Amino acid sequence: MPRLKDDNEFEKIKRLLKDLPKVNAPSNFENELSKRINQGEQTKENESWFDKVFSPKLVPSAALAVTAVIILFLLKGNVSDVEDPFQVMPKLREEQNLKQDQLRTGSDKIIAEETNSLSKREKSNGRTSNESESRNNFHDGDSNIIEASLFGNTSIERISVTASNYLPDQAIIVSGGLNYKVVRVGGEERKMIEMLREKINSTPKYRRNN
Amino acid sequence: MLDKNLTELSDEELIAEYQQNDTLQAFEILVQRYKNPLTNFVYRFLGDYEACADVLQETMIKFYRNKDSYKSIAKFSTWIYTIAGNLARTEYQRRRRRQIFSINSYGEEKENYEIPDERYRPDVMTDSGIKDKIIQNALLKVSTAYREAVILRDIQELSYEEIAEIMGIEVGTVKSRINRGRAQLQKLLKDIYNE
Repeated sequence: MPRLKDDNEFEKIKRLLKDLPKVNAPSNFENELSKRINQGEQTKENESWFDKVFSPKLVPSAALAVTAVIILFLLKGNVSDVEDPFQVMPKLREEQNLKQDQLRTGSDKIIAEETNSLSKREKSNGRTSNESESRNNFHDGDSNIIEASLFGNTSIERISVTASNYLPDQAIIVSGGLNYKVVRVGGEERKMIEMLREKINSTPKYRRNN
Repeated sequence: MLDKNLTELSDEELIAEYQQNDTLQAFEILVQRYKNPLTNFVYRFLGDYEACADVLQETMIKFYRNKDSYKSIAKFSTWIYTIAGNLARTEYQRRRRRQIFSINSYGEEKENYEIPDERYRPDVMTDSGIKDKIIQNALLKVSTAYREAVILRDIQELSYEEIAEIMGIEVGTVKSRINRGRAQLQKLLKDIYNE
C-alpha cells in the first residue's frame, strides 16, 4: 500500500527531525538582554525634544510639508502679480464721465423739445392756463407734484408726477438746468408724459439705468 | 507575590503579573522558560546561530516593551512564538536579499546563482554532527512557509492548533504545509534514508 509506505517514510523524517540536537541560547543571554534593555531605556531618557521632533520617522512627512509650503508660496507669489478683475475696482476715465454728462444734457434737450410741442398742442386745443390752475390744489403724501418752466418758456407747462409714476432718475433732470414748479396734471397730460418717457427709454442711446 | 510562588505560576499568570504590577521577576522567569525552545526554533529556521541569538534578543525586547499587546485570550507560548517567527522570517528575507545582491555584484548579467554547497556531499559524511548539518541544510532548502510548519510540528512538537495560531492560518492549511514540507525533506534527504 503506497499510502502506508509514505506514512512510514514521513515517520523517518519525523524521527530524524526529532532526534536533532536541541540548540540552546548563549550562556550570557540574560546579561546581554538586560544590557540591551538598559541601553534602550537610557537612549529613551537621553532623547531630547529636538530628537523627538526631528526624528528620522518624521523626515518624509516634514519634507512633504515643506515642499507643499514652498509650492503654495510660489503660486501665491505669481498670483499677486496678476490683478483679479473681479476684485479690483474699475478705473474711472474722465472722458467717460464727460460723455455721460453730454448724454444727460442731450436727453434733457429731447425732453424740453417734446414738452414744448406738447404745450403748443394744448394751446391749439384751446386750453387755458387758468383751467389748469384750477386743478392746482394738490394733496401731499404719496404724490409729488411739480410745475416746470422749461428753459425760460413763457408758457407754463404743468407736469404732474406722482410717486408711483415718477422715476427717481428723473431727478437728474434737475441738474440739467431745468426749473421746476409744482403743478397738477390731468389724465391726457399724464398719458403724454408716459409716452415721452417710453420714447426716451426705447431709444438705446439715451436709455438710462433704472 | 513572593519569588518562590512566581516560579510555580503558569505562563499566563506570569505575564498577567508582569502586565499588572510590572514585576520584573515574572519577565525573567518567562525569558528563562522560553529562551531555549525559541533558540532551537529560530536556529532551525535560519541556520545561523549568531543571527538566531540576535533575533531572540529582539524577541525578548519586544516582549519587554510591548507586554500590554498580549491579550489573555491567547496562550503566552503562541504569542511569543509568533513574535519570534515574524522576526525570524524578516531576518531570513533580509539575509537572502543581501546574499542575492552580493552574488549579483559579481555576476556579469545580473543573474542569480545557486551557491554550490560542498559540505552536503554524502560521501564525506563521517559522524552524526555532519548528519545533523545535512538535515539542517535540507531544512533550509524547504520553502519558508513549509519549513516553519515542519519545525514547529516535528522539532518543537507543538499542536496543529498552536501552529495555526502562530502562523495565522487554518489548521487544514497547517497540515497540508507540514506534509508538503516533509515531502520536500524526503526528497532532499534520500541519501540518509539509504543508509
